[in-house]
Amino acid sequence: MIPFDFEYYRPETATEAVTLYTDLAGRGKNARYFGGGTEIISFCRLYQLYPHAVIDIKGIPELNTFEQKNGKLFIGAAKTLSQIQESNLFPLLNYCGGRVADHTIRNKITLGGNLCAMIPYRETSLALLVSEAELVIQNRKGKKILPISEIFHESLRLEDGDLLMGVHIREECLGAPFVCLKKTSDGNVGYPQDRVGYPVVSVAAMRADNKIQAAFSGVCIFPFRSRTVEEVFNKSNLPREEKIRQAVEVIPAAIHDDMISSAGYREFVLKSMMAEILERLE
Amino acid sequence: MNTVGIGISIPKKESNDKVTGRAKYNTDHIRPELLHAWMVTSIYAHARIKSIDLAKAYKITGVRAIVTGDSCPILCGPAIEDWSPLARGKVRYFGEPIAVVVGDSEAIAKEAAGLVQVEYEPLPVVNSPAQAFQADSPKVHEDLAIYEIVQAGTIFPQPGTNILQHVKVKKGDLQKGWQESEVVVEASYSLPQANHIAMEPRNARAEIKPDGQVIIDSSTQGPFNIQKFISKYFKLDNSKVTVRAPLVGGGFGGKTTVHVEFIAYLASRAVGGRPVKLVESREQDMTSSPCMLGLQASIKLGAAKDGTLKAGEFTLITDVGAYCDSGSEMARGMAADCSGPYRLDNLHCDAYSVYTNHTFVTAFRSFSRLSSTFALERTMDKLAFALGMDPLELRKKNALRPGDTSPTMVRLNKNNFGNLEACLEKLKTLINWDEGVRVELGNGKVRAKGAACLWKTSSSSPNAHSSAIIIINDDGTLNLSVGAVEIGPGSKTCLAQILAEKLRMDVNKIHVIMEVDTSASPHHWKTVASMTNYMVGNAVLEAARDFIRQLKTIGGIVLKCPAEMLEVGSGRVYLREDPEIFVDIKEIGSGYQYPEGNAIGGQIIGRGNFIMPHLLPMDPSTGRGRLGPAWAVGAQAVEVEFNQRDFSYKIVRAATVMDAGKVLNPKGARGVVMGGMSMGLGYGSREAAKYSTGGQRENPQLRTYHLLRLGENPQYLVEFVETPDINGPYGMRGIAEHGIIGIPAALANALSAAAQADLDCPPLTPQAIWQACKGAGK
Repeated sequence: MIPFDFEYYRPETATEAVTLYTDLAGRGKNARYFGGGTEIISFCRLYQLYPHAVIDIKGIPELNTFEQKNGKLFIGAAKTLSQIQESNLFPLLNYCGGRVADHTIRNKITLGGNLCAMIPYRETSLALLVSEAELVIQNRKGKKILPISEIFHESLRLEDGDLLMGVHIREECLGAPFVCLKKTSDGNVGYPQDRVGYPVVSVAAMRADNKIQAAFSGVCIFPFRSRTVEEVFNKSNLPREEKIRQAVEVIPAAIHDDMISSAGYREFVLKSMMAEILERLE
Repeated sequence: MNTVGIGISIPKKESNDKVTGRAKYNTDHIRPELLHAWMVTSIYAHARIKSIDLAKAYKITGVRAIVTGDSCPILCGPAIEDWSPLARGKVRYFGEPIAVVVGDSEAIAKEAAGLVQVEYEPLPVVNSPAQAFQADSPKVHEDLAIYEIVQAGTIFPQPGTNILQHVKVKKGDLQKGWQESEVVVEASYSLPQANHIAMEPRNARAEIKPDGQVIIDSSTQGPFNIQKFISKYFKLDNSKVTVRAPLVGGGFGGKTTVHVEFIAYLASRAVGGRPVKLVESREQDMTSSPCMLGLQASIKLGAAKDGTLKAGEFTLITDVGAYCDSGSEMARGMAADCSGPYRLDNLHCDAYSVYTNHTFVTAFRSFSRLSSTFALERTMDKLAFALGMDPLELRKKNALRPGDTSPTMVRLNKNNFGNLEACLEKLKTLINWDEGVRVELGNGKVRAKGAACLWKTSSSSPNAHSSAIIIINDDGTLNLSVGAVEIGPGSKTCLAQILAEKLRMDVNKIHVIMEVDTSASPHHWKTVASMTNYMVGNAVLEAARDFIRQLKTIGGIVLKCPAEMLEVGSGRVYLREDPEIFVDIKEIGSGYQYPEGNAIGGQIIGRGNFIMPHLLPMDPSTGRGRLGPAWAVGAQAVEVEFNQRDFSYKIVRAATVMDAGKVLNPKGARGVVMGGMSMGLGYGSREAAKYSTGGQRENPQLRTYHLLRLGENPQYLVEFVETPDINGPYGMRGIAEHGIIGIPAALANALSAAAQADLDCPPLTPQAIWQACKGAGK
């Protein structure tokens, strides 16, 4: 039960949604775009979030489409993780998104919601980071398309009022060879998903242009793709153990230590996952 | 004869309602005049309450009342009175209720609860049982010396410390035992607190009628207990309190205590007696209401070279959290059964309950015997290893037998103990033990098995009693009314089966009354301790005998013969020598009308009761005494496939062989045992209440507190041995809790064998195994 009243809007166009957002802000109202609502509802329920209004974006047709044209796949931000899995258009994203929460919740969670989540794992970002996806963003000034690397730094750096419309993925990435691994505190997660929980480490790696590209969640407090780690992975004539040793040293922040996992165990898991990536993609 | 009674698998009487969603649970009842309550709970584990400001909360439209501890200066508790329903002066655990808001809707009450401003002055926190024991530790209760002891002679608090219970059990000559020991092993264990996670969170409705009658509707295992405590602490005549309990969505011991009912009563009292409903959120159910105890244990066992146990020393320190509830009783139960089902003639056990700034605890499936069993059964495996003996062989060699005595000197016989050796034999085949404890599969994988034995008797009040009433309907079917609550295992169906067997009539012609209403239902102590079928079953048999006696009396008049010549069966009273001479019970059940039109008799009502004889409290210095009427024993095993590279594992199979005395409903019994095993695997592998350094609960949500999920279950193998207990209905023994008891230990034994490291602190996550292997230099 959400213990306070808030306004609910369900616009039919993206323009209407962003205008509404600005108008609400102008009236001093803190609004949230609302996709599946799993996070907003549970945070509100626990007194951790108090939006004055929510703007439900699921009624905007453009956000609810899959489209393949001009060598790119477009996935609307309101597509649920279950719909993405069923479409089977981008297997790596199936793996990354298909092991978030559980099936019932994935029927609600949207791609946009997971990318913009407050809970830090945002595992769908891993598939988009390694495939260098482009994000389509709408705001009052219009529509812009940005490569994910320009706007995803630890989290998606949207400006106030920006609405994530969807993502473009280049077709050559859709079938690229990949490795996608996830481990929770209880053990390895298979695919289809056989275990539920936040990641100790979750990793997506892809071989593109003869190079390994890899992104990680769980390791640090934020998900990341690191060019420095990839450089180490792609060095020739370096033994695997040495690559792993060097790669762990250059990850962008301290290894996270929390109740899900100690930093020491995370490092152990990270190293074994790196070994598997190298073994399978080198 | 097509009589349908015991020994056959029939669906639970309530199954159709449950699977169609029609079954009504306590919170399903809605009335227009109902008000709603929401609790304000502590965000500190230990703090002085400096002030509570209600002004902002009262500004919310629809708020009817806000109650704080100051308006209710009482202390309560079943063993020692150390607990106030709403905190006064200070809070002692994260999640402790401080105030309750009553509003027109749950949303209003909850919104206002969020606006109650509590000013705290944080105090140093007691965050583990070890810390609680230290002399310079902060004290959770400064007033331990002046608290009222309710059950004198069963609880021994030490004022000036955090120790609220010390139970001693002494048997034989320990000195001699150590002298005779050629191999000695010693180890320490630490087991975390955990949650019950019943599907239905704890909740209650309370109402005070204009005539002063108090009505409590609760999701509870103990309606008569609520009646007793509400009347005691609010100074009401017992009969002024009516408690009703519909179907309960799981209890696991968590609904034995009286907790939210007190708060709901206070809430109703504050709004002039209007009905108020209080439903805990999952987070509140996990932090505010009591949980499962934690344990720190040290065990030392000595044996001769041939494996015969000679001596044992046990130190069991239970973390009961901030208040006692039944924590002191669980320490007693653990101490009384400390040896496990093994012959150990020389032993000392010191069992303590200590206060900490954790959530307080109450009964948990098996009265927390799974925790002490974990420590003992891990030590048994270490001993087997030190002796170079097969772990199952060691257990068999030392299995208790009729003629032996329990740690508290109860003489065992085949009735009160059963046949553990037969269980071990059967288990050995069931899990294919002889293929080896540890088998390398190649590819870095190992398959390993671990075993554990279990035993448990109840810790019942010596005056615990049960009753049953049978009423006949005009169509010749019967209504059976008892005071036991249906919490899921199908007890009411089993009781109907017992009655059907006794009357030799179809169980489908026996209706059971699901709801318990203390103003109408016959009494039953509490639906706990695996004792329902045993205690209530005996009362049902007594009632059946009474019912039969009455049927025969009137049947004799109708059939013109002495009652002694008659039998009852298949819905008839008939002549023993010629069953074709009979009268239908529906003809005589509500009075018999002669062909001439005149009538005799009246409705036949059978009544019976049962009380357990010979229970004796434990002697304070030696522990001598008898807590429960009988044990149920069994043997369990778990098989895992362990990955040596990443320390992950899969639970492949789990097996239980239990001496059930007599299986009343085979599929029902298997389901109950399997449910226990599943809970045991969850606790052994992943469940733990995690507290921050400040004592705040870190995982009070199912997002972060993981249970064993559907799909992760292993193959379950469940079989029974039937050694009748002459005192149990048709020889049955209580087994409803027992499936959980040895499973965490068996899992740990399997994983320790697989990883070749001592895994002594559940939950056994891959990280815990990695840590233990790293510590062991592997």
